[in-house]
Amino acid sequence: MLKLIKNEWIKVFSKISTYVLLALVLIFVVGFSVLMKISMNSSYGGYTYTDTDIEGEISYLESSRDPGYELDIKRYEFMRDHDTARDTSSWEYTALIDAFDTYQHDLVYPTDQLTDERRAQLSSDFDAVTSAIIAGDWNAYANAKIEAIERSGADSELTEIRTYPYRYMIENGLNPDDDPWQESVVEEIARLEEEKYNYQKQQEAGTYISDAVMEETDNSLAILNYRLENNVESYIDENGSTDNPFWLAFMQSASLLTVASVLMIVIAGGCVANEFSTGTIKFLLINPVKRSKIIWSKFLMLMLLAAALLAGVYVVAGITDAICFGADFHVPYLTAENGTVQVGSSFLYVLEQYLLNSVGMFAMTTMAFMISSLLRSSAVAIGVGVAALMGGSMVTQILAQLGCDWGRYLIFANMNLGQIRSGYSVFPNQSVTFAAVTLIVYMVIFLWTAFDGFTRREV
Amino acid sequence: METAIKLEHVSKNFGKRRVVDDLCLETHTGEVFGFLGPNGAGKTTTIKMLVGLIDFDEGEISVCGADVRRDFEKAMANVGGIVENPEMYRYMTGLQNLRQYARMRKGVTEERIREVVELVGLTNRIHEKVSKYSLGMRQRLGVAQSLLHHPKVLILDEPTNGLDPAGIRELRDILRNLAHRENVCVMVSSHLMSEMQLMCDRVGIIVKGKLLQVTSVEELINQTKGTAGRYHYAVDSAERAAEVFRQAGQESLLVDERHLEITLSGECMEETLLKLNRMLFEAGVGVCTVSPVETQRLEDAFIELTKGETQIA
Repeated sequence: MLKLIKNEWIKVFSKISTYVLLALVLIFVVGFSVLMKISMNSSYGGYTYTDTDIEGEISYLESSRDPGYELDIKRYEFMRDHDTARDTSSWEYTALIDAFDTYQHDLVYPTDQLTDERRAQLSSDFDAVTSAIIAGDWNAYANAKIEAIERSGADSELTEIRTYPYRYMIENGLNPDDDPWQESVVEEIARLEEEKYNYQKQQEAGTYISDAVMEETDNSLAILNYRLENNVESYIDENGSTDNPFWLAFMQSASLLTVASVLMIVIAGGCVANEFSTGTIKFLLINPVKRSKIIWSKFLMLMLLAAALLAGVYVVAGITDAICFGADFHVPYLTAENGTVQVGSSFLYVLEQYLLNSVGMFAMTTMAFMISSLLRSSAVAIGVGVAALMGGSMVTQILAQLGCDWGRYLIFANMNLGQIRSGYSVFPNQSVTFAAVTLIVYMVIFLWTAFDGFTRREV
Repeated sequence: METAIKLEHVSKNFGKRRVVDDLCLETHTGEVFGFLGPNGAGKTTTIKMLVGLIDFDEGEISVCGADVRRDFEKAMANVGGIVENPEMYRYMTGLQNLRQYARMRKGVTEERIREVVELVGLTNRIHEKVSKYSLGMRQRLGVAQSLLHHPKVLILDEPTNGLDPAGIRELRDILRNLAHRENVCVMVSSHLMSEMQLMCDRVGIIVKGKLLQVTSVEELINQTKGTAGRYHYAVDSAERAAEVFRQAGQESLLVDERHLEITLSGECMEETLLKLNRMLFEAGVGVCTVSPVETQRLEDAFIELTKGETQIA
């Protein structure tokens, strides 16, 4: 049997067309990395307001009179008068918006509850915070914020939560001017902790909060804290998103398996049909080997080739993306369950994505193989295979929109296992198990048809 | 002498048409067996059934004792062959093609591959792609392929197709050697009857799917011999000789002034010849040579046998 598979393998790799198609796949993989690199280079920078810009904003706000426009005008005037916080990417810019929202809002739009005492406190807090902003002194600003929060009258737990980002930054000697990654993490922690605090208060007051919501918050917090403790700047989350360009490009290269699928369909479509069209089938079948063994060897060769292509695309994409972006091996795949962080290998996670993406390749290869064996026409097999590969998802979309529920039993509706697993299936309530069983049933039908057609054919 | 191929009451229908009808045939090791028949008689169909390319509806076929249906791999281990055209993988070299077949059969060494390549005279061109081969070269490669695993039965469908006269002669020698020295059963089908006459020991004639007869080549030729004979006379005057023959009651055919032919029939042709020659001598006609014209070649016998049945069935 191994010798038969070797024979089929040699046949495929004796043809120049195979190498042309392989080169095409390689060009796509390398080209994809390069294009990703070019598109990612145009990074977003901050914008710096000039005096003219500020005048423009003010006159616009005066004419539009959007709700809260008075506050915004005051802020722009402050920005202009003190010549500060003009760069939108600076911490001062964000801090100034925060200062106006927190300490000026109630002063500009006073309510009946506003006491004189409170009014004086807001003014003094505003002055303390803004003087640090004008000075550009982060530590002074952070301390001013902490003091203001402590004075705000919230309970100790909430105060603790709200001051946490500033305390963390000061304790760890971090300055937003250096753009440390921890900044957004601690802010997110503070936001989620406050959310959690509110949930707990609501629960105590008798409002029903679902366990799932609570658990999701706990899980997110667990991951954020894990990152701070273990100094993890970038990671891949359970949805596969990441801010690391290498891993992003590596994951997205999985879509190139479609190109590899075309190669597989061409080879599978020719694999039986070409023996008939060139007349070599007679020499193949007069050997002391049962026909079932010959057709098995052809199928196994195709599966082996598809697996090799999958591995090849994975490795080549990994290497070219590493060259383009610089590989960062310290990016883990983090998930959390019941508030406990699970650390996974990103390489394995990406491999899993590739495997899920390759389901269509294996299915369409088998289909082209069946048509090739049944109709003995490589043109029909390749045509149908490629059309199914490209148009299959479109057909399922249309059927889903027309409300034809039987569309879920089509092979195309079940090929995108990755999508189905993440819950974005075209038809409602489509589970991975359903998709897997449907795929297996199709594969068995394809293979049985191909085998039966081949073993009974009169040559 | 063992039984090599055995067909017992084999029938095959293509739809409603009966292509092979109750065919019984037995060939032996050590003989070259010729399979003759007009186009569409069922030769290729029979050969395809023999090597398992198509199934048959009735009967049994065995090769060296192994049933083709039940014991396909064992039966085919003893068979080498070419069916219809020698189509090989054109994108591979001759040697790569042979290696493909070598891997599918048991006990074929690189040494054996070299041996068969040498035998069919392809040594110098074996590293070239088959797409550059002529039909004759591909035929040689096909023969090499069929011999790789020392088959006891060699089945060749029109093997001389595309070969030059020297090649035909070579192949004939190879096949006769295989049969007579290495005790192989060689089964050949061909349209070139004169070829068969030189190559085969026995022939089977198939017409409209029915096996008419199986005989040795000599028998087939002799079958129609002795009932009629043509003789060519070279004389000094054909006209005077014709006059003498007419007196003896013998029709003759004038070829030119000095040559004429007569056709004798009956049991005692030699007596008649003696009498005629004596009369020519007495009449003063100078006789230079008298020679028999051989007409009863296999071809004539074949046409005679299949007379009226050469319409494509």
